[in-house]
Amino acid sequence: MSIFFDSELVRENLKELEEMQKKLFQGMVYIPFYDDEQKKQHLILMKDFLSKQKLFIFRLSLSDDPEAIETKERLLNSVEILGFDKTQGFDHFFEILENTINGIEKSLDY
Amino acid sequence: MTDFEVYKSYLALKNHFTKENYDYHKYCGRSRASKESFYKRKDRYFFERLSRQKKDEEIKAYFVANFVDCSDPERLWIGDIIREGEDVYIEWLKKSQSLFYLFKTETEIFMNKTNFNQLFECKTGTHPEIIKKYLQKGITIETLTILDMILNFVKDFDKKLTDPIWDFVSLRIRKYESFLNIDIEKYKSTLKEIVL
Repeated sequence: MSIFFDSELVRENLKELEEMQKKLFQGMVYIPFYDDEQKKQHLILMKDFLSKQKLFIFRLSLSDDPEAIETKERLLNSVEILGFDKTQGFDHFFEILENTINGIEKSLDY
Repeated sequence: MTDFEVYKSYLALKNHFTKENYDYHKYCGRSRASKESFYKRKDRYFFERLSRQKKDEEIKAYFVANFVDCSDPERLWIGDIIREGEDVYIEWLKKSQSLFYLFKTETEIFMNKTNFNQLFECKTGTHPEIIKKYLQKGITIETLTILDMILNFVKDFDKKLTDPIWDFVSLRIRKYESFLNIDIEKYKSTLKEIVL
């Protein structure tokens, strides 16, 4: 039994994140076919996804549930696989992602 | 999209894949077509059906998938698309959703440290090994196009090859590049890992 993952709020968050991720993944293929408005919507969804992820990880970090601690460690290892320094934590990771998204947003010039 | 807009997208993408000077992105998908001539077409129900069944971006992707897959976009008739278009589109979608895996797998199979240069060696009048591989269906157009995005070999081959088959492959690679949404640096480092 995991206090953290059995929480209704956490389950809802995870479900929402999964749906958003699915939508983003499906949209990836179509980006070259999007018009400016669709590209803008895709970026908004990415930003929204990122802020919800940040919130979820913050919540995860506050928990002392062993399963939550283990999940956090596993996520940090995944961040390292993506080429980031895990000792700098999630904040650095999210900062880089945010900067990248902002850069794309500027390049779209809408 | 309305049925007429679907038809205009079809024409614009056909122009993109068959005409050297027409760029779909540059002209924002515009094409010369009149409603009058469209409503005279016997196959207009096909465009009407597509407009009902698919979203705007799916319609464009559907035509790109079919123009890239067919043996000659100039001779791709609506009848061919009606018969095989959906299967072609689904296959394209599968490839596009696993593009990185596809590229990695295909390059790992036929590329290594020792044969890399040989694959791209181009002597006047003879197709390089990499092009032969593609013509024999040993690699997909996606992998070939990504390789050009990294290595830029088409320009060089264009100077040495003048046969119609190469002209056709060259045009297809150059025209397809703008429809591949990839992180080129990621593919570049994967290729380096394989061949260095």
